[in-house]
Amino acid sequence: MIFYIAKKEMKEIGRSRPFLWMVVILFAMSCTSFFISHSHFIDKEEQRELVHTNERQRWLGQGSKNPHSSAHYGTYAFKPNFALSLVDPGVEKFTGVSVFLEAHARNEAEQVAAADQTGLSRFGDITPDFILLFIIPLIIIVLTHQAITREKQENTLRLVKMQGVSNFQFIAGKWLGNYLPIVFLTTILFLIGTFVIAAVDRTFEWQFILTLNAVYLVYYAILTSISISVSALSKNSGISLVSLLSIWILSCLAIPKIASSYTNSVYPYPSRQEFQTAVSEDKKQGIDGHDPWSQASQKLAEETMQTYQVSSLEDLPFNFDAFRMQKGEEHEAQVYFRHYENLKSVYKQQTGVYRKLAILSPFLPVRFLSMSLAHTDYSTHWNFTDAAERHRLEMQKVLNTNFAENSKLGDWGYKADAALLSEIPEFEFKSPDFSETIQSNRSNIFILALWSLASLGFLFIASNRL
Amino acid sequence: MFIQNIKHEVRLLSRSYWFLALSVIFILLCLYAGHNGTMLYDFRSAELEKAKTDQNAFYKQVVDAAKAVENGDETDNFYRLSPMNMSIFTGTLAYRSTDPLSALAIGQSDLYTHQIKISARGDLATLTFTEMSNPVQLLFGNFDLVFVLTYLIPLIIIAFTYNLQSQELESGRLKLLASNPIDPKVWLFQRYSIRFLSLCFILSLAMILTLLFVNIPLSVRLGGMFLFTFMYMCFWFAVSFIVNVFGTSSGKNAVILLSIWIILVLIIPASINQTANAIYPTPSRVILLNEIRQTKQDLSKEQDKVLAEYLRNHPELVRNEGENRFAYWQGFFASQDMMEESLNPLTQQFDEQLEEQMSWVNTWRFFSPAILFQSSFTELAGTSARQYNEFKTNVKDFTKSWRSYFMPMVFDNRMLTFDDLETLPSFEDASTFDRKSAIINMLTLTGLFILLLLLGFRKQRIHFQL
Repeated sequence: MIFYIAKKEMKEIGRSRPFLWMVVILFAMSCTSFFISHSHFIDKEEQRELVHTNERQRWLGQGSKNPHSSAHYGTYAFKPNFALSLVDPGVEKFTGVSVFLEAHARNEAEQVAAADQTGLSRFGDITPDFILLFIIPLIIIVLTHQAITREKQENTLRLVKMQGVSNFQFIAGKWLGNYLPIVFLTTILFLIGTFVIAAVDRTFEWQFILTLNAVYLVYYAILTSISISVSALSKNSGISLVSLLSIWILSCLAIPKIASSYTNSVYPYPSRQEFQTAVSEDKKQGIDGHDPWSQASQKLAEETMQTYQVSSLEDLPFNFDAFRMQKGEEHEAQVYFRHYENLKSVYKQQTGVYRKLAILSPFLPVRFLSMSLAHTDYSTHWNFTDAAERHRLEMQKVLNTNFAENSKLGDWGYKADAALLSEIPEFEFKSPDFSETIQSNRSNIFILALWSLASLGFLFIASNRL
Repeated sequence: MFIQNIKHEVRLLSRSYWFLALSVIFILLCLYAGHNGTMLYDFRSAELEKAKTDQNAFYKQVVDAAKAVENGDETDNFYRLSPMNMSIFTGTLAYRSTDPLSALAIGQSDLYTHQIKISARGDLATLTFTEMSNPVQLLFGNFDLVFVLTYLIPLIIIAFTYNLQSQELESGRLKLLASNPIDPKVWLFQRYSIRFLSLCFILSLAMILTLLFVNIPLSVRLGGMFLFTFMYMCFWFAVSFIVNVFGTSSGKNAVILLSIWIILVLIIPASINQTANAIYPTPSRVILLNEIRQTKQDLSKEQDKVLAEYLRNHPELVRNEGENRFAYWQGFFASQDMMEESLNPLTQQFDEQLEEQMSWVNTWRFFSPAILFQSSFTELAGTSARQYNEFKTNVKDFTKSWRSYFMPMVFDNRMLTFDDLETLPSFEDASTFDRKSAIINMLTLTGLFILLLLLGFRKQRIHFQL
């Protein structure tokens, strides 16, 4: 009986003109958004490749040079473009895409795209994730708000019940009949997405997009359950629609903003100025590689001479200037590490609050899961900047060690062989693999599962009150 | 009859628990939004004060050193009077004063920094203007008053007016009413007017309570905000009025009104933003980076030629007497200046494209009252994208003047004197308000309101004649 009701519901939906219009609009919007995302992605990828290659050539083309000068000349680490960002660009426009790697300083990621846009960018973009997160839920609401109320208003519910159909069968049939067209639409969208992604990156891992598809299907199942339940509990279609739209606005627009404002008020980030001042103050407390007269440098000189049993720095078997430079680098690295760990702990506390607040809206766990699977979340950005910092420290170590081992104190004219530069490997960043991604999203998956159960429970309660 | 109608409507509203509950919720939401805005405003103000205090402390050391030198005293801080030390390490602070009205509309204030340390060393093309923040927060946006007003006010209006006529028609009461000596169009207009005044009362109460809560002084701009809010309300009442007049059933009215809301508040702003980015894309920052690096490398290879070329173009800076203690910096500034000159066409493209985008948005903004309202409100609050771009331009211009001030000293091989400190350039916060756009926006909203009202009256006459 459930399937008969579902079949009849689908037939009605398929014949309804509004649904056909919605499909046409959705299809047009999806194709446009994928086309724009695709051409944007191709441009970004070409530019990244070009600049990455040029930067490497410039680095290697420095020739024979003092290693510390090379360290100051520095190089750039570029964040790779991830194919799934075509579906969900996440927070990418608010994070930078490159980090300058140089001596003595950990730099923030640069080139924030949002800073080159108008104020309207805060209203959002017509991207595939906008369609998946905002538009399809609206279609679900428009389709389902009158699924039960219409039967009540037209008195057909009594007729159905007279056939011996139980409330549960009726509601389950309605749920299935309304959910399957959405599954069909979503699958088509993801198929288009898969073709577009495969065209730009044939090596992408399939389980990511399949899981992403599954996450959205679960999200739509939850929304369909809530919509059918509200329709069952409402007196008429108008009330049902207004109630569902209120729920949509609350869960998709208001709660994320409330969560964002609340999180920031509980665990605020320091301002850039404050952060930089604090780092600079802490750096002054230790060795500055370029300041041989500071107390910390004098202490290091004495300790080093004691360790090597020599009476002057000139007698050391290495260039103390370069050694001090490396020690300074290590001190600065510790300072940066401490401050960035503090920043990261604020980020983790903020993430914790977001995860707790995800209880209030199924939108939040889906939003976070979607960005995470597309590698466009904040956590991936942190991984990228951490990897860039590790690379920078490794780079400084190689350059300072060469300087120390191959020159004498005060020999600032020393030039290392050009081959030294090729000892610094190219920066590579690998995004978390599938199991790591799932592991880091356990709480989001758990909350989404809770929402699924709760929405089914709501559906069951609504079926009892029909 | 008029009095009776008012009495009847007031009685209906006062007995509607939905109306009372939503009014209370709305007031609470406004207060919470005000609280969020105040938190950010207080945070920014405290940060700015701290940055000013730190900067004054730095500056005081320079002043003390200059005084000591002038009095012929010995000082350990003599090095602070070096034009390099003053222009690069002491620097100066450029800032946007925090505006109490920004508590009502956070706008772009969470994305951009309000204070920036000016150093003669910084590349103008890579100056960072973004603030340190969690990108998830930027993605979701803030729950501020302008969000409540732009998104939620129309929905509240829709919820309380979508069936004002249709409900009477469906219940058969309209026929009874029409048999009384009252013009139905006057009756409907009265109903709308009473609801409008009731919501105006609640909105005014909510806004006044919010203003008292966040302690905002009265000003002309605040008055402008109130005016825009009431006119935005008028527009949505007029939309609801015309839909009621043209519509048939309450259900259909609700669907139509909500569709209009989705199109005007969600789809059109996102589409205008998307098309602005697609038609006038800003050049790639990654490519700019590539150009900067390449130009720097080319210039550094021929450092001596660069300085000679630079001095050929700036003969006023040529000096031949005494020890040249700033030789490195002379070369550095010459390279920097020449690099900026060669990159000028590319960096100008960013400003030009952004201006084109803004002009595109300005042209198409008339298609969405939400954009008209939101852009005017943020402009009045001092947090619009235009105002932050203005700040960026002012900072860049000021950085040039800051650098120019020290250039003669660098090429003159001389230290700063007390007199030089008195003529130091200082940054003027020259934020402007786009009154013209605000007036046009207000006139457009008013025009739309009147047009819809007239259309409604015209149609209504036909309707009742039928």
